[in-house]
Amino acid sequence: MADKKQNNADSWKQMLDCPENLPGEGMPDKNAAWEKLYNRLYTKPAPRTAWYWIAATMLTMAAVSWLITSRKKNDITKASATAVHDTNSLQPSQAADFNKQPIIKTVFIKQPITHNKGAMHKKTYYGNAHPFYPPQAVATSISIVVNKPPVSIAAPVTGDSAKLVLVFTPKKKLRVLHINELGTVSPYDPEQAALAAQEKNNIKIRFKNNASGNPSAPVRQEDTGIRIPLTN
Amino acid sequence: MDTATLIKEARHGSAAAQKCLFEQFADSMLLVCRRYVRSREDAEEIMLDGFYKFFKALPAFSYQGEAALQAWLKKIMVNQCLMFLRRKKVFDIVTDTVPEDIPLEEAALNNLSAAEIFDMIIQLPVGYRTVFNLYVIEGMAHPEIAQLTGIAEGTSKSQLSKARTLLQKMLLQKGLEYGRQKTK
Repeated sequence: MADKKQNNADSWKQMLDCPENLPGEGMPDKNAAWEKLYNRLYTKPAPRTAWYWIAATMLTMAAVSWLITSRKKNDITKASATAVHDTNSLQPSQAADFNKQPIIKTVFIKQPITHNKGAMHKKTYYGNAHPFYPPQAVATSISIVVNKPPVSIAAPVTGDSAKLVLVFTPKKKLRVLHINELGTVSPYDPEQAALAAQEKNNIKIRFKNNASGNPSAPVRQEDTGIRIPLTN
Repeated sequence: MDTATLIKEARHGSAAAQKCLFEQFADSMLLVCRRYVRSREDAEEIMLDGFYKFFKALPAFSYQGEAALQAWLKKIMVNQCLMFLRRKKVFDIVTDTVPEDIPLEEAALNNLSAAEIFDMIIQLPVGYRTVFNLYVIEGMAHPEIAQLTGIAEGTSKSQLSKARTLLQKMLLQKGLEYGRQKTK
């Protein structure tokens, strides 16, 4: 049975493959078909210069835009690094003269990044690691509490006068915040200067716990810091 | 000039030899393409594409006789036809319901001429026709057909079964017409 089927298939194959059995199904104009095929085989495709130009232009534009954005980024980083260096480079000998004038230091700090949108992030800096800790100012507690907007900062300073200018640098946009502007500058006090010089090397920082860091938590009695809620 | 010499010349880029080969095999290859693609224009385009591939791949081909050459050419054409059909997504609408298997009276087909068989085959729907051609004419197995067409093996079987049923009906119709012609 299988052999018979195979024989039939073979006979159909032979019948259908033979052009003589199907006279009406042949190529009507072989020369025209050959011309077409010859053109495909031997004619080179037209150069696609327009596409090359478009691709080159797009690449150039992409490279230029990348250069501009990377340059802007570098500028911000450099400015931040310089500012931090300025604050830390103050020597104890300079501290004596420091109280004569108001502290006007521009410090660039990076705004803490809120990874978890809903969560409250608290970032506490310890000792001199924090860039905006002024060397001559005896700070009892410094903490930054960020709950997306608003940002609250409590930075009590025991110095008679202190003018601290903080420049927050968010990812792209710079915000200038003026805090603790007490206004008047006290006259030179040698005791205060000596104390500041001493404190420079031996900084005592008392950090708040979570409860006290919370803006809604009650402020302890001895905490004379000024709490300024900052909103966007 | 014999085919071996033509192949040798064509391999070295002789356009005249290539033209001779084209004229020698164009008719039979067009028939192969016509069995798969109903439209004559499409079949001619597919055949030209097939010959283009053939001439481009000729330097890598080792000639082992005319039958082998013809088989290779035919394989190229069948592949081109299947590519064309896949591009048209004709196999996406093919269903795999298996109808009742009506055995095809192949003896009846033997009484028909090649032209009549050819007409019946190209009248089949595209899914039936493709599977019928691949299974019956080319002698492929269902797994191979499934792989080539991108359909399931069961679908291939059902398509063949439906093609057989339809051919049977066509044969009955033709038999009636044949009988009527004889009584006249």
